[in-house]
Amino acid sequence: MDIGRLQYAVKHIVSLVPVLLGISIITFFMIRLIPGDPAQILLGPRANPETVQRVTERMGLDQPLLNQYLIYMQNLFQGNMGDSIIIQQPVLTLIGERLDVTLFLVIYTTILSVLISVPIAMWSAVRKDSLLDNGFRAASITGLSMPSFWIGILLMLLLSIKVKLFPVSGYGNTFTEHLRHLFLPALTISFSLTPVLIRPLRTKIITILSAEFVEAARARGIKESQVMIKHVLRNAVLGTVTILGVNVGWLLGGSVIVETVFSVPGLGQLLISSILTRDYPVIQGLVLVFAALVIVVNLLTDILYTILDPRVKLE
Amino acid sequence: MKKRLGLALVSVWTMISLVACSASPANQTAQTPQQPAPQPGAEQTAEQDNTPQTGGVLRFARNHDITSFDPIIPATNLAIWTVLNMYDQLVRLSPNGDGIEPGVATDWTISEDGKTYVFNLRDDVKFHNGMPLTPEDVKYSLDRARGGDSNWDWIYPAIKSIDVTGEHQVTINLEAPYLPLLSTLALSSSSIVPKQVVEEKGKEFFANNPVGSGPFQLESWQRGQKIVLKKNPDYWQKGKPYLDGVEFVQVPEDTAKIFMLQAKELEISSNVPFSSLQQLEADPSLHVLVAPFARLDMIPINSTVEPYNDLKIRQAMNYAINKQEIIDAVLMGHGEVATSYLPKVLYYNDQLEGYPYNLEKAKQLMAESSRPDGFKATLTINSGSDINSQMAVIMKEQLKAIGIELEIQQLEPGVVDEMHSSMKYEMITTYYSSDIIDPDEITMFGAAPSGGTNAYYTGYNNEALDKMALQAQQEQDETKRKEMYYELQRIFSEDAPFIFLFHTPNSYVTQKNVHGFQVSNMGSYRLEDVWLSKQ
Repeated sequence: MDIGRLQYAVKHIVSLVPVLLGISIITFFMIRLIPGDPAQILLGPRANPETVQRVTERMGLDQPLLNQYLIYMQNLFQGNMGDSIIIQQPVLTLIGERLDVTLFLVIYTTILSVLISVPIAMWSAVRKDSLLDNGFRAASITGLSMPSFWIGILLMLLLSIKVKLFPVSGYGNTFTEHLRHLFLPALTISFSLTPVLIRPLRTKIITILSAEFVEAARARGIKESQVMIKHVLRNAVLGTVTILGVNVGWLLGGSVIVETVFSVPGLGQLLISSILTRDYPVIQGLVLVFAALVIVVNLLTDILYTILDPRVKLE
Repeated sequence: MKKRLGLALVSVWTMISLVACSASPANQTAQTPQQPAPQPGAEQTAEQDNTPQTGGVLRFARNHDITSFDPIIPATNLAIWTVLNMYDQLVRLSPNGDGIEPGVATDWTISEDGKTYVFNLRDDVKFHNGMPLTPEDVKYSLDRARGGDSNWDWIYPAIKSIDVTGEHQVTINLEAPYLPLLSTLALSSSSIVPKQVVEEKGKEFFANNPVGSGPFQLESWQRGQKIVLKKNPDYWQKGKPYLDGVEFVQVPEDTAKIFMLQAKELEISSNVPFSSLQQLEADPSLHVLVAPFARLDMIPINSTVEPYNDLKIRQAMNYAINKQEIIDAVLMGHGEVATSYLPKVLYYNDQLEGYPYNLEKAKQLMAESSRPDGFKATLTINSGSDINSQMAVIMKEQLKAIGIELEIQQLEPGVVDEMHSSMKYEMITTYYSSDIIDPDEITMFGAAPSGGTNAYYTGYNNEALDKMALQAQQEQDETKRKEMYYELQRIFSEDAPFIFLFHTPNSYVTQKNVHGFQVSNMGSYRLEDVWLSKQ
């Protein structure tokens, strides 16, 4: 990495701080605006008010809101996200236990989506306006408009029950098991991600195919496959990188739903259960982690872009 | 009476133990008396061998994870039912949930005045770490359960002190007679923990690294994914558990559960939607179990708000709602019409008529009420429950017939609970289930104004009922006590602080090779009785 990129990275990482600070303030107060008492939820409907009161005090939720916020901030600057008030474990531990699962799913989905999108986009571009191209276009729109939990259930029915290829749910213990278990969840999210990738990629390939340098390459007698890979794809794929970077937040959001459908023990599942139980510290921690992930991935995208296309300069 | 019942059970138990001891543990004959009794709907096919086989891991799907293995912390049913398979208590619930059996205590005597309980303990119970279970552990655990760290302290109101009175003996002294005591001692929060471990390692450590003496011990806990339990080889019931282990797998999605059963990725799934049971029953490799559960589904009516302070309106609404129609449409017929505030626990009043659907009577009551021309009402329901939303739509139709315009307000569960407990609602869909077989818990919590919840946050206040509920806790004459609870239920039913709906059972689907799986009335299950046959 040259000096320019390094400076850019440092500058953006520094600017992360105020953004995360803002997010932490908003989440802290927003989640407390939703009615619902963590102590009451923890104890269930059976407990009497005195026990609820005592647990509220133990959770530190009887303090004025501003005090709670200051304690939270103080801890946060020391790298401590506090303890879950429901599970009574450090938030960082809880997130750490599950971060790899969600990252695995997100990366798996990204790779799978690229593997699906690129050939389809190329095919559609080469056979522009053919029956096949139109077929893919129709399929894209269908995939995009079906809700992911529905696709998930259909895939389960097809690939786990009818044809017993993949397990219905879970995560597994080894790397190969993860690959098998997360295939359907990743494919489910890909269903709505690939259409977003295919369409611009196809358009880009069509434009490039008629560009002069492609004509020139062909004229030099380079094999068509070589032309496609070295000249066309290399130039077309740049846009895809940006789209992937922009969509990472959306990808994380998609994983929240899909993790629930497939019982994958990732961050999304933790987020849903902590919202339902009003586990404030965990929600705060998760939102921060999600926000940081989105920002970091966008930063990496920018840097990757300059490597793929040296003409682009970072400012 | 209660005392004699205890002694009778003890003598039966002693005989059982003698028989069990004379047979070597490896030789499990089909006649082992400890073998679970066959249950309705769970009969094995004739050609199958009924001798329990050892080995195998039971994969058991449930809707969510638990939060702690410390018996005095969690309040969710799933956590309670998990803890009960990992710890022992002085006494325990019988397999179907209709009585109390010896646990760590082999027998007990109750003093004439009902204020002293002396428990004799088994001397062969060991914790999962190999330490023997002592009377000091019992005292420590129960003092802890009623102390400030406990989320269950409120359920032990009458205990004055717990004393170690012998090498294998513990005595519980009460302030006043308290008949629900034995029931309470069978509760998960009364589980016996090793004093030394909790004191040395602290309660946070213990919540994640439990040490009990029950049939199963924790092997690993992958939060949000599964709880893996392994067999306790030193369990005091020799020969049990049959299984090598249990995996409680977290599967929140109904469809995923059904697919996993069909793909044989599970041996048991709980909370299978009623609408899928018929389809699953047709599958030759699956078995459907609908187990009665001490749960009451009801609509509390906030009687501190007009016009709900009018008894006639509350009664009219009760008559106008056709509960059987809701059961048939929403629970697919699985469920029973409720007439009492009590779920089906001890002294459940089965003679109450309640409010059978009667539109004429409902209309007449409305005409005599403070709002003869009807009014607009709001029913708040939990957005996560299909059953709630389907039910609400039917109720909207039914209440329209008596001039009540029902507006349905769907909110997220945490919000609904908060509105309920802060009494900022008109009507709300909810339920409760009893943790003990004694009617006292639900009476104090759901009906008696002094129980701390304002009669389940309805604001219903009846001094006579309150007084009787407190007296009933102390009444040592079983016949009189039963009469009191019958009367309490009658009064409450007549005053109609709830719209009484139904008792929802628990639904389970198992593979056909799962044997001995029985669910008690309280919803708990003894997994040490479960065994798997080779398929």
